Amino acid sequence: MSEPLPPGMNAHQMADALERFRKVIGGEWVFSGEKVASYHDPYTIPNDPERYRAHAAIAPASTEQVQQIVKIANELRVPLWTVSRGKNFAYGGAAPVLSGSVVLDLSRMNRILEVNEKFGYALVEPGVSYFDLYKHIQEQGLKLWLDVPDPGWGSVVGNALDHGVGYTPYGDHFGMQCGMEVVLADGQVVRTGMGAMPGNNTWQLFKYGFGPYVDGMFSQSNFGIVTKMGIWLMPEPAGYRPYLITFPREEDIEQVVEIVRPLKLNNVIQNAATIRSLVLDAALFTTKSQYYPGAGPIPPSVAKQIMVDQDIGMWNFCGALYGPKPVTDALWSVIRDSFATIPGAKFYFPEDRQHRPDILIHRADTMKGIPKLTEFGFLNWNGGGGHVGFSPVSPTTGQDAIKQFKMVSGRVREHGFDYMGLMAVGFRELHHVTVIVYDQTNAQERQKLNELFGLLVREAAAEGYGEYRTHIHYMDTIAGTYNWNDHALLKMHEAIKDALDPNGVLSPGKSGIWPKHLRQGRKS
Amino acid sequence: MKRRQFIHAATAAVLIPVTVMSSPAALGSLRRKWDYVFFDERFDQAHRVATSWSTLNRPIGVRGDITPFWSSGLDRLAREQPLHLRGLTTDSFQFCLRILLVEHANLDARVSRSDPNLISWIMHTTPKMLNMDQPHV
Repeated sequence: MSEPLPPGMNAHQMADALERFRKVIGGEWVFSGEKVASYHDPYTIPNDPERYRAHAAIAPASTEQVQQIVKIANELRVPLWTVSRGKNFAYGGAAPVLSGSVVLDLSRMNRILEVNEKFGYALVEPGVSYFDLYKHIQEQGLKLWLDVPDPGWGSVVGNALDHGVGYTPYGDHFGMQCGMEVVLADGQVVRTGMGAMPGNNTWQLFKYGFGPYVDGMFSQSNFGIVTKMGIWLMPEPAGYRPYLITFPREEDIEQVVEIVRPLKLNNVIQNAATIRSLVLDAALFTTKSQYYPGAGPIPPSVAKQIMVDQDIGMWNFCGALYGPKPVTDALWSVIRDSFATIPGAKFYFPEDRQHRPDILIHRADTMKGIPKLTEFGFLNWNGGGGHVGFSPVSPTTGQDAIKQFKMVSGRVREHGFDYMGLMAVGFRELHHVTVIVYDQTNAQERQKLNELFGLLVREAAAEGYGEYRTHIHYMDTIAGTYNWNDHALLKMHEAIKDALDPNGVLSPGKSGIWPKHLRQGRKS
Repeated sequence: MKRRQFIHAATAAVLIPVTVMSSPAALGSLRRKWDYVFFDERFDQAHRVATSWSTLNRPIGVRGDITPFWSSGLDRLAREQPLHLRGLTTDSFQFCLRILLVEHANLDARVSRSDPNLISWIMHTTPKMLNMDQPHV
């Protein structure tokens, strides 16, 4: 299949653009033809093979090259789809929303510019992965911990920009961001916060600088290209004690979350802990067919068998204590006593776990910032290897948690999938992430998944629940649910887009934000 | 699937090209000695089949997770030398290995599903230019 062209460009114009890009970055860093395959979404959802396909990809090595590229793109009206490392799997990977776009792959911009142990921060380019930064910190012997999302191969910058989460006390990645360098659509370079002042030495220490705080505008957006970012790192604590608490019944989630809220608000639960469902945890290390040969979701009797075999619960609360032993002992006594009010709750430290591999042993690494790929084990549950995340946000109340769980798990099971969910604990909200694992080679199953996802979005929105992040296939849909006051927020996004990127060359369609010439008829 | 049937299936024209590049044909490469062979030790069939393959090193038992093998040397090897790898593993191991290798090397990968749990795969790599993926301060 030939690679598609973007609207308004013919093959000759695109060839001219790619030649101009070659002169800037070198021919070996302009990818076309079969080399574009690695930029396709490995977990594609629609059955139309023409959707979400890049025409080519280009990989600059410096901010200066990015500046030259956007100037050419503006001149020739080439849509660029920016990715840091392109590992945003389950949300589209490196694939563009607009077919025919040229992927601007920043993975060669992989310099770790500074790691400051005294103040606990790093300044990095978008191509730096969690694996890279972790390795650097270990090699230098620095007393700093990363906060990592589940897959460690992603970009530190990209994950923060996409509002990703991790599992230490620094789990809100965009919250830990401090200071950016951004290339705007006209090629201008901006440094945000204190970075706007020449000679200032607090760029990575104080976020706000003077005047409007604009960093958030460049997250989940298409208003600029972030080429450097500061990220705060956690000082290595004096002690670390991961723990697991299991609960035997699905309906326990209501009481669990009611207990979590005051503990988290008061910092007794220190980290971005997670409440994980049975099948999600079981799927990391076993497959469905090892327990159940039938079609459709596993029956309750099988769920009980898995609980016994793997010594886990219907819900599994993974948390960790950080600090000197007297502090962690005191915190643990409060946590234990609080959850002990739930009948059947069981409490574990790593030394209590007998099975290998084991969920707590695995999560103990993640909750201390060691990057891994272990979590991809859930791909093996069904066979077929596809997955997509449905991620509505919920207040931290038992009532909302059980309501969301029933809504989502009910629909997921009706459609023949197992419920594989987790609730990541923020200070005042839960990210309720449901992973739907499907057979990506089966067109009918992809169609079924697509119908299910649309239903989930509509039903969640009707109850006032919105997704925090989504696959490229659903960006317009999700943006459409944030429609208070006749889409006032989207209209503001579009006004900013038109002002900063009037030719609409930066990531058209990202988060439902389209340039003026591609906007018509989409807001329905 | 019995061993003989599996080998027959793997050597028949059922291998799905994931990344098709100018490279040795799959059938020819199946007769070579592999640098490393991986099998998922949770499944007897994977163990049986993998130990029948000709390999320069002892077949490596895994449990779905590439992380320990990648960070303990496979990443360096992929950057430095051509590798000829074969495996009978779950989706996650094959998928993660393929994505990781593509970053460091030119990759010719072929996969076929063996059963609901297992994927049979071969991967041949040649290192990319060395300045591509070395993070530095």
